[in-house]
Amino acid sequence: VPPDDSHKARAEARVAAEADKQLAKFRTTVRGIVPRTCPNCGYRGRFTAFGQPPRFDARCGGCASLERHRLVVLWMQRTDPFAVHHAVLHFAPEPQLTPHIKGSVARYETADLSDRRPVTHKINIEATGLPDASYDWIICSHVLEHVDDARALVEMRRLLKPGGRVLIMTPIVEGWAKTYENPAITVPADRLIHFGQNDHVRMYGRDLRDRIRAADFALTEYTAVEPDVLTYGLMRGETIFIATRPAGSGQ
Amino acid sequence: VIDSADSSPVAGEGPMMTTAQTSDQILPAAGPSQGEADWATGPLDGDLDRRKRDIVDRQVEAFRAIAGGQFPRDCPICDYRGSFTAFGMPPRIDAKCLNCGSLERHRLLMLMDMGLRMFRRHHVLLHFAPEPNVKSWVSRKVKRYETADLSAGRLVTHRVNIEDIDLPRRSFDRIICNHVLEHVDDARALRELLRILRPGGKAILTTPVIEGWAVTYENPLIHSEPDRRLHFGQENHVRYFGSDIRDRIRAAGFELTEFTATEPDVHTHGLIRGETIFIATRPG
Repeated sequence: VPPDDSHKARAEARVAAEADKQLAKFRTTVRGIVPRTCPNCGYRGRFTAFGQPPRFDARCGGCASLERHRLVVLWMQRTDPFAVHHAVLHFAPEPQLTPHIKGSVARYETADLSDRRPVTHKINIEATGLPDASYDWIICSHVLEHVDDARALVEMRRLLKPGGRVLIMTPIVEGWAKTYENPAITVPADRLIHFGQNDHVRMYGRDLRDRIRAADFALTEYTAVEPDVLTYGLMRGETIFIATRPAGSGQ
Repeated sequence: VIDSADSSPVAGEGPMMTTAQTSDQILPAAGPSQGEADWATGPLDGDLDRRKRDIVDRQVEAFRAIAGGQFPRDCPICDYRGSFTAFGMPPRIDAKCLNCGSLERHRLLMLMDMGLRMFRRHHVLLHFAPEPNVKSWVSRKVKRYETADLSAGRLVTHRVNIEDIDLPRRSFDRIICNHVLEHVDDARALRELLRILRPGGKAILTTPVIEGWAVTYENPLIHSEPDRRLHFGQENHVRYFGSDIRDRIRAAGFELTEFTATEPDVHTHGLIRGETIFIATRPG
């Protein structure tokens, strides 16, 4: 065997040995570390690992909810945001959340660009074609990181009644002062490395708040803290952004 | 290599994964009752039906596919380029340099030095809890390199308690203190670091931080190792810092600047997005 090949083979063997060690550790925890409680379905028990890179105790063993779903359900249970007369538009509707909203409002509609699920409106969030001031609430979780967020935010503001609100969630690197965007990154494999998923177009920094305010929203936040993180299996510091269209504001 | 038969454990077959049980760092299964002590590592039971086992198996396979490296990275410490392996609990992908074993925070420190020329030939430097992957290159850059640790397990220049350091004031130009503050009384430790720094001297501080938290999480009820692992991320941590760590550093009398892992360094060198080195300067 030529020396170059044996060097390469040794390196590959080292990778395999290291990977096996990590895999063995992973397998001791993938099925759940400690019992958690799901506010969505009431299940208490094993939550399994989920995601790439994996997060432990992420996915409810009862209803398959993830951390962000459970955070939204807790926020709904505690702040009672919906009224019986409300009209709600839910983008990329998560099945875990729909039942919590649908029964408590007058009008519940869904929206998505793709055909992967049946929705009320098959529309582009950047230009929906829906009428002005139509909704009291918009739910928009893990959508903005896929689209032109400036256009989407302006469009959602237009769809909201004055005083109406949009719930926004997205992956965010709170340690970054500035959002990372890079026009050279266009192919899915590069997007995975740069933005964390093969169809994301940026990775937000904490200036997401400035972007939301720039679309003329008032902003409040609801953050995953202890003891909820431990009890319900949440991501430390994950935040729901509640953006309010100021009452009495014009278009 | 783990064979495929191992990857689909079946309920009732008894303890799975002898490889896992002999691995060097098994996560303790902390639970509210003794009966749940072996809950995570013990045999599968009725609460995981076939569908859930499939979900788990898919996660294991997905992790297997990237544990040995997702994307080639460059190590600024040893100049290796190639696969970095997964590391940590929960695992971080492309975290550990296959050649020198450096982790993200070690590489970030090297990049900070390359950018800011932090460690100079005339410096007297003290390195707490000295990591070999930092010592290897920092010790060659400074005039005098000394180490400190509380435990007798490591060979160090000074066996000291960082909360009450038995060394003279104004002794050092630089201090490196990586992943120490989350183990100790940070207010006392920071005051001591300030005391032993020369005016204008800098302490290089890193620790796990939840930047999305306005307030650090401490909880006087949490003492046991399993509870600390759950609440604070590791069995010997005593808090989880929030973004107010900056206020805590300033409260000890330091001036503060930061060096943060941003692109393109993150994807080039395999860093943690947003990981921050706190550079605490004793006012001159």
